[in-house]
Amino acid sequence: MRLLSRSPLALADRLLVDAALDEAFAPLQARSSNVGAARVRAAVRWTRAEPRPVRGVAFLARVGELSVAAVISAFLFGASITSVSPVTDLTQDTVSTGVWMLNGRTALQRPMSSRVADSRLTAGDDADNAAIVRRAAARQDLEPLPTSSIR
Amino acid sequence: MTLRPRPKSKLPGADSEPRGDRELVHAARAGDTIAFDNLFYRYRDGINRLAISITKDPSAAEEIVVDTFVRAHRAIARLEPDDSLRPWLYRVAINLSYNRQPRKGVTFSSLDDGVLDLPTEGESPSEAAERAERRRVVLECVEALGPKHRIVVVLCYLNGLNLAEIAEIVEVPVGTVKSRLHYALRTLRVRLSAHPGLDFEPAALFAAIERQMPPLKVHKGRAR
Repeated sequence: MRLLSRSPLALADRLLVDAALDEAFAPLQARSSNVGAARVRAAVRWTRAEPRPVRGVAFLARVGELSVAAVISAFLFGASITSVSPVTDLTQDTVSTGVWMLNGRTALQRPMSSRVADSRLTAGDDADNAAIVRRAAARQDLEPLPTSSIR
Repeated sequence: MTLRPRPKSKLPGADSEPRGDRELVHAARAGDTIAFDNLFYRYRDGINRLAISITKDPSAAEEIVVDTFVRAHRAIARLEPDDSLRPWLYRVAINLSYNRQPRKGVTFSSLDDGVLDLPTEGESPSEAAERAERRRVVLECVEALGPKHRIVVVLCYLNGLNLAEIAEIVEVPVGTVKSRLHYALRTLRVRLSAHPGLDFEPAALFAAIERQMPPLKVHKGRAR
């Protein structure tokens, strides 16, 4: 005798397992919980869900964040490109005019002394004068000029 | 082995509350806290038993009962009026039980922890010890089943649900529930046979049936 048509479990075996399971679960079935409804109400009160933000507002906020990030990125990229272009060096032009002196790399200052006082400017003149004297002496048959004629 | 009638699912509060689940859900949705409390007391013990059978932790089971009804309170406005509340509650309790991490350092060996095995009336201590041993073996065999088969056995024999309700809870067809239950019972039968000293034999079953049946009165009729 079989309980189900395709079941190989005989009725006696099925009843045996049924009885064993009923007996095994009997103490647990007699068990009751001590939880009261007040505990559930308290839990509901404590874990009350916060109102959800409106989805449209959240979407607009997200779009705003992304646009700000895009603007900042574009600004930084453009700034990095424009800084590569050559910038005219005003200091070199100023120095080339002879009005200003370059002190160090960038600092400009007026000439502090006259042409005579600056040895770098007058040294060339003296050398030219000495060469003229020497050439004139050679044309005059190596007749040395008096020292007083050389200035 | 003693036979007892299959226990029906206990519904505490059902006797005092004549309204059905649908009326109580409608009332709770309208803000009737008494109706929600009646639903709670109706299903509290069943959910507690189910959570204990999965977690094997009575305190965790109580928390699962509370969490289940907190979720029910939140979702009661979204529940369809035609939906049955009981499968929904049991499904939530099963998910909460399986998702609950076991507490560190606390182990529960079996389902019958904390249950006293005292001898009942007319039962000797040796018989009580034998009954306790039988129960321990059966529960160990149930624990050895796979989770899909174990939950079907627990819902059927511990919570007293029928196949359609179990199918709705575990979200499978009724045929699948039948198949799983049959496989689980057959496996249990094979494993229980490995304990011949504990009366897990049909002969002992029939002897118990004969002991519980009233003696037949034979009336000698007059032959006409």
